[in-house]
Amino acid sequence: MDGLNIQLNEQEYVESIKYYSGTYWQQVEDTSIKECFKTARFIAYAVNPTDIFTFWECDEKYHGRLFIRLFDITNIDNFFENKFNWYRDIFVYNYCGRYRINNLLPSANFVLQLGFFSQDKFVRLLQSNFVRMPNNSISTNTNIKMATKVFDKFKKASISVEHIEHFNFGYLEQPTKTSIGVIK
Amino acid sequence: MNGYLNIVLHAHLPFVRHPEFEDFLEEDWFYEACLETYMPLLSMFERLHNDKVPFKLTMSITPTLASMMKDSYLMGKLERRIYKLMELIDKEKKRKKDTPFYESILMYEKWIKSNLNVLKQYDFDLTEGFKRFYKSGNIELITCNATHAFLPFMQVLPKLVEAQVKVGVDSFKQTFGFAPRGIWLAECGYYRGVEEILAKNNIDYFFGETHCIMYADEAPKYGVYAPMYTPNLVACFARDPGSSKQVWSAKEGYPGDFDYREFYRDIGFDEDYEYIKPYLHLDGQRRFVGLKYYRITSDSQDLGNKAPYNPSNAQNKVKIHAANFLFNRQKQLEYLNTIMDRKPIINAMFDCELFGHWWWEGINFLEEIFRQAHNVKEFGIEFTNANEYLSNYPTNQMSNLCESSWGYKGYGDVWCEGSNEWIYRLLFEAGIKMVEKATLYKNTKDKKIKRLLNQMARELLLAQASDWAFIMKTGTMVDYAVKRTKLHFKRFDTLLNFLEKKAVDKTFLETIEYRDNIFPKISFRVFSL
Repeated sequence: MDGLNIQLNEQEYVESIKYYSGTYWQQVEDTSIKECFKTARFIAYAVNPTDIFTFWECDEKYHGRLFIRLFDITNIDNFFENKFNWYRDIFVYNYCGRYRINNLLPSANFVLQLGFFSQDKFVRLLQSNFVRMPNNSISTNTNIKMATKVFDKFKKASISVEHIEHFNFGYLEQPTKTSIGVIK
Repeated sequence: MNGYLNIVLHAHLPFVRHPEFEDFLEEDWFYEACLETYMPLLSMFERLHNDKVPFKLTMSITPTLASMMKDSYLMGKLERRIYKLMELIDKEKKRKKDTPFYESILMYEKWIKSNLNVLKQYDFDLTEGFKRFYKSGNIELITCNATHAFLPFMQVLPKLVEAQVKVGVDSFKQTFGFAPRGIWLAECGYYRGVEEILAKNNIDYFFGETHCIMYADEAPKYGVYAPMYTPNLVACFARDPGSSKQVWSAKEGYPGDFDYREFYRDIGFDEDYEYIKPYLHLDGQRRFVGLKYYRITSDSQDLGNKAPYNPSNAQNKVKIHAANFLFNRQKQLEYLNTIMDRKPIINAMFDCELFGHWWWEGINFLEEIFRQAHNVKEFGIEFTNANEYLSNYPTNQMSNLCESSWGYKGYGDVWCEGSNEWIYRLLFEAGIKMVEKATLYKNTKDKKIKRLLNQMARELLLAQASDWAFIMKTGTMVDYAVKRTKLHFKRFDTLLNFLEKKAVDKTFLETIEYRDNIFPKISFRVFSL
């Protein structure tokens, strides 16, 4: 983000000013809520280019011996348990919980499995959705596609792609604060 | 002409409406934003219009805010607040006649009268004011997803995203009478695939954070100074970091100037308690009442050592800062012209409440920008909006964009960290149930079931608002945000029980229909498969 980042923490501060006052809201309605649902679930998503947040629930009988197996499947078309780049096991204990996995690679693809070990063999219980990590740098791919979208004069009619053309440009410079982020 | 400037103001507040209480503190967020930002903005548009100064900007008015802007209960309370402030300003005028604060009091008198005029002019419905300036061609109005949910965290269940977008678009049409061509994705939260849902709802463009374009899969030919198409040709306009920082930053930007009004020094804390008590809330706690007589003075944190505010000096600074802003944009555009084969567009994107509420002089700053750009042709800046730019430049680069947001660190960290991550399992389960029941009953003709499901849809949408997670993270109003989140989950769950047991507590249903009365025309079918 260097070179692009404005001081977003200041923006966040300004936004929070909208919500400054204290509360004396009296509790009149019951707001007790359950956090586990007796439903098998395993969901994951990228929070930023290096972190995945995940939550899960499985049968209570596995409580205390659960692991998440994180598979890196970047550039792998069809994921099978024997087709991946690498995996990592994370002990998570709870049958119903949440976890944040850090230090992953930007632009990579992952899938997670929840399971336990039986005689040193990982037994899968649940598999998550696939997760693609966001990019965090300017691409080195300079093969540019241009497209045209045509509007009629009322700007309401259906639209069409006129053409897509490809061309390259040679000189790419990482923008800095002074070069205002434009590629020459 | 050097290029285009697209000023984009994102006007948003979460839906806070508590008719069940005589007095409710958090409703202040809305009243303060109306008094200090939205109504002064409409007055400013009026002045520019009367003086025949051409102006153009983009405003996203979120469905939650729009529904509050036309809510008779809230607008009635806003009117009472205006009269109360008028009474206080009258008293202050007499008390501070020969003091250095008198010019400030006259400023507040003018401000409150102007606000009352705006309220009456638009018949207690501020959306009418914005609609008027849309019709005059001055502002481009765009929508936002229904309750400002952070969409990247909902992508696992696309139907929930579809409902957020569709309800946002439908609600906009009901309020403003036309279909929006653009959308502000809440928190500029973009993920790959959301463009499919936008296209289905006839949305042609959205606004993204700088790296939404800069970190696309192919290097951006024009940086953020031209839109970029997604693979299905929805255009993304991304934020220019330079112009944003000058205005956002209190340290390096304009709002921190020592001549500008100090936000934190307010007579709600300064004045004698018995004198100010009638203007506080019923709990009698000292709070801001909105009258502030001091200027920032220095970068010292000591509020006790502030000097009196001088509106004339502040106005002079506004002129200098507006000129500086335009000069910098001129230089920026001149440089861009040397390296681009088309006229560049600078998207200067801000939280609308930054102007007026946080930065008191901010509305005047915007006004000065339009006036000076009109008077000083050398700036070579033309104001535009996304529609016009796309008409002029229909050919743009196309790529897979980068998942991003405008929050701290640029991705989803603000809305998913230790304080707020507990909400996502609950949102997911409620979402699954909503989709399941909406699909099951999509052909029902039973009015009771439809009513139940419609209210379930409202409760789910309200629970999804990104504001609650944001507030939990910032740590200022955590109690309220946690309660609101749990309350909507609980209400959703109660209604779900009614549906499953086919037994409705009519009083409960009527009560929450009255309290959470947002989206009166919603159909639960937006959630059906």
